[in-house]
Amino acid sequence: MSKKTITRILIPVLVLLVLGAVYVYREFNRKAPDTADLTPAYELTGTQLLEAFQQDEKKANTLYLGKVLAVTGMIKSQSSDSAGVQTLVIGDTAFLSSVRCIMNGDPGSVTGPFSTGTRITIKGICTGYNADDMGLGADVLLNRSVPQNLLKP
Amino acid sequence: MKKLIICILALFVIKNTTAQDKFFTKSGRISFDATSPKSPENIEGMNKTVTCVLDTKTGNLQMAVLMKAFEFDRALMQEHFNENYVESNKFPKTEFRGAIVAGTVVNYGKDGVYLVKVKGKLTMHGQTKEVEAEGKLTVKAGKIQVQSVFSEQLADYGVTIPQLVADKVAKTAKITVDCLLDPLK
Repeated sequence: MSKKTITRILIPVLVLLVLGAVYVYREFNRKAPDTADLTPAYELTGTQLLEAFQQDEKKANTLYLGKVLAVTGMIKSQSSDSAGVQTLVIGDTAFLSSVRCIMNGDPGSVTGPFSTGTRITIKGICTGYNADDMGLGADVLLNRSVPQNLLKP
Repeated sequence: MKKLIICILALFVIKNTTAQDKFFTKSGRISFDATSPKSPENIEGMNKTVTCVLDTKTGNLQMAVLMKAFEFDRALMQEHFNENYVESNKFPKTEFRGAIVAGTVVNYGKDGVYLVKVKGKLTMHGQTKEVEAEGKLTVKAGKIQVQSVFSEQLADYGVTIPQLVADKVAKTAKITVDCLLDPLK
């Protein structure tokens, strides 16, 4: 085999190896995308979302679990944990059940303060449903949430 | 009329007494660590949305953990965790139902640190197992902090590790619980 033939084979192989290594490196170090950059799979109100889980949890899980949802409703309460992670609770103050939106805690993602009673649309990843079997009300949870007013243009 | 007022007041007192026996959170933390000596990186996940209720009257302790809410540093690890290991679409929730069975007698009305033992049933990945763990209850300023570190064999819950990465993922996961409970009003 001539030197020229070997070079012709080697160069594409090397290029493929380098491309493969870059792909593996990028895939290995990939971070979860910013929710603000994601398109919601469903847009619905907090009441509709809660009712869907309360009526048929299995079906609602199939539809919404792990999906990006844009949920509209009234801010019922808000809180921050010891690490500063903010939670906005959407729902009717007359009921215990609600949609709990755990706000994106990445540095720089300033999300508050919000006024209780304000109507808002929040985009987040649905992580599931806790039925009311502890006497605390039922909850649908959204993680990595961002408010509509922070959506990128 | 007088009897009616007394009855209403009695019901109010009973209701309040019952509520004050219970402490809860919906933003507790549970992390797990399945790093093995041969892991190329730390295999750690954190869940910040744990629901936990402690009934101080009976000692009953209940927790609910949504598996999709575990977060990882790397997206790929989170995808593998959900799809290949815990199958969170099929088994979205992990639950613990148990009670404080032993340890220091806890005076919930007095600030202090109490070492306790908790026993109950842990349901994960569709499998239920009796578990027992030691923990710490810290009563401070009308709140209760529940902390525990224990280990569980992944195989006991039907979580299988693919052969290709068998030595890179620990067979036993270290689980750390940290929940700050407020009184239920």
